[in-house]
Amino acid sequence: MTHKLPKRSVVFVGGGLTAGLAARQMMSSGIDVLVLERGGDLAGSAAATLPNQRDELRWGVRNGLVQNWANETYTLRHALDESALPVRRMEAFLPGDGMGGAANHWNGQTWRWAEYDPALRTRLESRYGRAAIPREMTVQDWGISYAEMEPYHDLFEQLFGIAGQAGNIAGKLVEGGNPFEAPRKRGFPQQPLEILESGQIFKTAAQSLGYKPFPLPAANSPRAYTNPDGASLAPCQYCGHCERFICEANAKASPAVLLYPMLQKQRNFEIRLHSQVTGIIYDKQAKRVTAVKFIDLQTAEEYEQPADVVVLSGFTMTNTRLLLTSGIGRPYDPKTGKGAVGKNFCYQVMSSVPVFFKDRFINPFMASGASQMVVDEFNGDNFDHAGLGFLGGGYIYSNVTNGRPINARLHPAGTPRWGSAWKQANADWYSHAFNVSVHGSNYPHRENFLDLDPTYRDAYGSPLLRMTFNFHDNDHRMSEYVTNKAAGIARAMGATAVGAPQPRRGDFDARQYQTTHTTGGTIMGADPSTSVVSPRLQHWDAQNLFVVGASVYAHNAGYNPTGPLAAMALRLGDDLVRYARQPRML
Amino acid sequence: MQTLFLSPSAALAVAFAGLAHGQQAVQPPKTWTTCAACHSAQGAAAIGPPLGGVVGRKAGSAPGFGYSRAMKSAGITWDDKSLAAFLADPQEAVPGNRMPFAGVPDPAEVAQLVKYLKTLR
Repeated sequence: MTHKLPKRSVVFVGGGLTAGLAARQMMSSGIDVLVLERGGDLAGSAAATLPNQRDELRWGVRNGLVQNWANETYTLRHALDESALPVRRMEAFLPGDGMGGAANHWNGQTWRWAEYDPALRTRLESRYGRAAIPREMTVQDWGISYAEMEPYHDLFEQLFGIAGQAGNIAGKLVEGGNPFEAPRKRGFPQQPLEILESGQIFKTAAQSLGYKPFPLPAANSPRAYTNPDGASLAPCQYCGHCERFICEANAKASPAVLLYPMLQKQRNFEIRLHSQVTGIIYDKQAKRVTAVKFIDLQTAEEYEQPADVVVLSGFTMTNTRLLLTSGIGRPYDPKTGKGAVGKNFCYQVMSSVPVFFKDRFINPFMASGASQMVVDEFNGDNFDHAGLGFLGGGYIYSNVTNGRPINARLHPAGTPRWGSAWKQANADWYSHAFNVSVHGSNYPHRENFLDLDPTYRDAYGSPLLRMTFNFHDNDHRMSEYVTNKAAGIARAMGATAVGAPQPRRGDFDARQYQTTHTTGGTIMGADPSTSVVSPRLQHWDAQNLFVVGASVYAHNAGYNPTGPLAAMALRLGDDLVRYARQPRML
Repeated sequence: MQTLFLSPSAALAVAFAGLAHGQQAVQPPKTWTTCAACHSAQGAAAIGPPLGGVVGRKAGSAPGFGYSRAMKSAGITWDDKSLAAFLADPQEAVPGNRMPFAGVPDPAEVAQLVKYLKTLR
């Protein structure tokens, strides 16, 4: 039996970063906000306090903060003519679970994307001509400009105390920053984190080749920081337990630290934990959503929560799946190219080149999730692609985020996989090696998409989301090219040994972690026939339904996705206040 | 859309001004912001135990906070000397305690902090 609850004004589905930011913008308006979150509150739990917080096996290897794959997973096939099978334990990316979402266990790497990214098709067509974009590469413009998002990027950086070196203030390049940075009104609120030994080595080598290295913008606070809301971060201890972990030092900017404790003190805000949303009730005639269905996971009772406005603020996969299971919008058909729900599903293309230094101490255990040096010369469209045979790119960086003992091991080529020679290699190289990595883009492909699996269902009876996904020629060529550039930097380091470059080759593999950056499925755009939500994130087929998160990205750049989705979430909060005053297509 | 707004009084709900701490009688030193990210000067346990009345208190005894065994069995009653040692190098002073903080390297800053902690009641 389903219990029907009293109507609420704005109901968010998913209590992570985007819901927290949007709700923050709405609090002073007095609008009633309810957030439904499937997980619990992890503050003060074993996940967040020493000594258990440092349990690499529990959080880092067994992914204790991540979606429970026994309840809900995705099915995967590499091509349209294959049958998809459920992924028993997804390693490739890590959707969050619990108040704060995936931002509990993020690394803190915070980018504004390139100025051209929201108008990528226009940019590529104007630079290379229409014919240069392969037919199967379904890049499209997002319907927004970087300039209109800039104030929200700035606000997010202030709220989360982002530490970095500005590269472009109002069009004027700043020495030591990213020369490819989109123009910013002002610098970061905090100076960069300490540069690690690996970063110093990378910086010197990159400069010797004429590149402009700079510190990666970080949400890992170098010093005590109090944000404009009066919420505080403590100084980072460089313990190397960021990604896959909650920061026990209160130094990693996260919604569970900076947003939810403050929101929970507001009388017009409520977060309901352990609430698994199973569907949105949609009135197709009226083109409106009317309620959210959810299960209380602690009592197994089913509820119907009527709402004036619903916001999908879950992970990329969750947002897409809820639209599909609820029958809202036209599912994408890769054969005709028609329909938009599930379209332009993207991931990222990572690769690396290991370097070994007999006489230099890298000490990888002393790091934060975002204390790297980076060059942006070969990212996106920051370089001329004429004649290269691919589009896109990635940033190249000294990839030291941790030295956790189970997984952080680099050995020179030819090291045995076990035995005393393996042990000796660990002793020799643990403190003396790191990867020069490429964080690469993944532009959309006509046959990479999400839909509902025809066979498999989750623990609550809903069809699983099916990923039809693989890397294609463009990805392989991009990875080959940019990984070679990374190898060039690696060879300029004066290392004892440089390992073989490992560009991304072959099929997508769900067993290998690359990034948690899946994007698309509910893409934004100015044209209702090719997008799911409007440039203001309002669903084209349901005026009172909004979608926020990386699921609205029309392509995936070589940057980490948090910056733009955070900026969009803040703008959405302002938009929801406007919508509340006068409901309409914004 | 009738339910979209709460009552007019709720619409006047306090926005996000600064934290509603009471006025401190003594200005805290600059380093205090580092402590304050986890510890309150007054009131209840936050991420770390509250520091009101810490001087003269037995280590590991503030109500409402789950201490490590190391801190509970440290046998320290906090005074100038023990606080200074702890703030300078927490793991050296109480090995195995679970405060995730490496310490304040500058002895002058430690002294200022101890002086400030003594004013907290």
